Amino acid sequence: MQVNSLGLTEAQPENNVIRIVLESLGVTLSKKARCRALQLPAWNEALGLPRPWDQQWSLRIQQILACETDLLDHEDIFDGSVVIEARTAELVEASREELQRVLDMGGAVAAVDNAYMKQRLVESHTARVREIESGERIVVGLNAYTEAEPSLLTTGDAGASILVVDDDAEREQIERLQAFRRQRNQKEVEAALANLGDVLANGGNVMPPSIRAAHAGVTTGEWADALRALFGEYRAPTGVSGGQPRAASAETLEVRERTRKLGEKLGRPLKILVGKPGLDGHSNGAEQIAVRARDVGMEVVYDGIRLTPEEIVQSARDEGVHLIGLSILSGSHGVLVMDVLRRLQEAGLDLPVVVGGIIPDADARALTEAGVRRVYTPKDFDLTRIMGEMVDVVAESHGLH
Amino acid sequence: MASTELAERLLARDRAAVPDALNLIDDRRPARRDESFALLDRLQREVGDGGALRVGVTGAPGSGKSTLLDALVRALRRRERSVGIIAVDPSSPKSGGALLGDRVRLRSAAGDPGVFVRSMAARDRLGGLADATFAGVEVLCAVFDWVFVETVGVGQSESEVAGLVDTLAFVAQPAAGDLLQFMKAGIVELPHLFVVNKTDLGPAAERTAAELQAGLRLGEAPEDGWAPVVLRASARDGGGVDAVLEAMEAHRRHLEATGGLKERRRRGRIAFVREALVRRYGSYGIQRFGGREKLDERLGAAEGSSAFRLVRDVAREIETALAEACA
Repeated sequence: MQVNSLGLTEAQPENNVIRIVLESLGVTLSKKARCRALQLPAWNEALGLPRPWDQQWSLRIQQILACETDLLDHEDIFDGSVVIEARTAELVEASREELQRVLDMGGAVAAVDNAYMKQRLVESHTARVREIESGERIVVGLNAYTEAEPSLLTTGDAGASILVVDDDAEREQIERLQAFRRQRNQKEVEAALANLGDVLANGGNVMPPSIRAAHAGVTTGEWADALRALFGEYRAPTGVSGGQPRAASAETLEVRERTRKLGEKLGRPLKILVGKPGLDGHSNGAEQIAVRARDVGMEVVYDGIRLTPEEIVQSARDEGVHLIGLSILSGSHGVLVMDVLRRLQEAGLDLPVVVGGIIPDADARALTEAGVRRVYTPKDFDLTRIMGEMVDVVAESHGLH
Repeated sequence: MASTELAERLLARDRAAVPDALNLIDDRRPARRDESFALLDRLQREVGDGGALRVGVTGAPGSGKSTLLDALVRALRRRERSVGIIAVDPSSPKSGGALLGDRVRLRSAAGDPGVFVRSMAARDRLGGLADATFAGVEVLCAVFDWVFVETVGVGQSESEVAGLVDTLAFVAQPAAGDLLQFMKAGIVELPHLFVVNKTDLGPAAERTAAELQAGLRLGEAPEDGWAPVVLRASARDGGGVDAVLEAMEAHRRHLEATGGLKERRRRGRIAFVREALVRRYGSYGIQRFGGREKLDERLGAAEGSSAFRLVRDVAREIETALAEACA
């Protein structure tokens, strides 16, 4: 069981330790429902990448639970609990209904293809974000009890509370890969890849040629390229166009009006590109930005995850957008954003760029200095405010302020 | 950039001029409208009735239109044909905003200068096409060998898209319950080819193809002498994709051989002009002008004029009629 880090906050990050403990109890207290393996997030995942010390802390939570309590000595401590039984029955019933719905669609593969699953994920997250914005759902330290002493876990040197990846790591990895490739028997590699290609083309069993390829030292990338050459690359539905907007708040209506007016001044409605460059698949933020931008009246091009900077710039130019919003949670914001900015400049496109993601303060300052108009991090939970600022950014970039 | 320079670059098939041209034709500011008019009027006159194949791709959500289109684009790129695509998505009637996500499945567009994709929101045209789509097709046709317009099939858009393409393809997915609805609505009378997608799903695809064949026999005979064809394809494994392209080319040859191409384009232009004028001046304006018949007569007589010039000229005439009515 990998416990979700969705509920972790950037604000008052020390509170996350308590959240992680509660989540771990949730999946361990009942013996009958106890997970077989547990992976807990680290307290600082909303700030950046965890260091070994942070990961150790999360591991210790499990060890304290296992060794310093008598949890493991008992049968299921919920046996006989009317409340837990009733909640379980509710969950079982709701799950059965959901499974039936998916079966009626033709099964899980069909429900992925027709975007049903992804749409439901996006919708439920949209509802959660709205509840946090309206205060209906309290997240301590984020939208309630926000007064705080400076966190002793994050004071000190900039970047001292997260893992800072050495700039040389990528270069070193590439060098290791190249060294590995040099010591392979190139003839064997080529023969293995040719064999894989033949089997793929004839629709045969891919396992034997794949094993042969592995023995020959064919890399994962080379192996996958052989498959891509024949099958192309799967792009999952984004799920963002499913949900219907609910009753708009006064703030939403205000931004919608400003969006409309700016569109009139610009000659056409505000059009934006929401792009997710790089390899991380954490699309929640990008999806919520895309949905809310639609709700305030923007025309939104959202191309899903794992885009290259080149694809983003091409898309921005061809689609004629007024602004690019990039979402990056992989920690590679430095390289990827700079790459997009450089390519925009080379293409002669003077487009404003805003960036959202898990971005440490020092990096945010560097991005702003490089020309990024706004940087948003998990503490910016008010999406409508972000929309208003995006309208301002476009207006500023057209000298309309 | 002046519209004359843009026109020169488009007519020289300069891809880099396409985004600017599409931004221009979408621009509602009066000064830009004039430039846009000059550009489109010239393009339509110079490109004429030959040129790019204009193909509409429509079908219900989930039928795999985009994935099939992606497979078609890859096949065309192998034949070294360039491709321009306009993908139309609905706008939210409340907020006016839109989510345009069609590029997601158009992987072939990435990094290839021979492929161009522009997403358009349908704006206030519920279930219809964006205003800029008609003009956008003219721009793309100047530059690319094949031009596709992709829309979600929800009723109105089929007949609108039929008016601005030469060939309309309807994509159906196996065992889709909506087929019957489409047949009832008479929408099956518009497409020239039907593609049953996802044939990798097996017997359901055969059944759907058979149902479509049966449904077509019940429908009205096509007026241009072309008997609609039902094809099977699998965007997933690429099966049948070449046959779809060949059918599209066959329809184009049929139109050229029978003189239907010129007639179809003429009717498409008139439909666009009529629609634009009715939307701008309403039934009252048209009535003041002398009614539908007078308008159709006026439009029918305007041989050799671009649709954009016609909108402008007849709009002035309607405004004169309205001014007289007020005086």
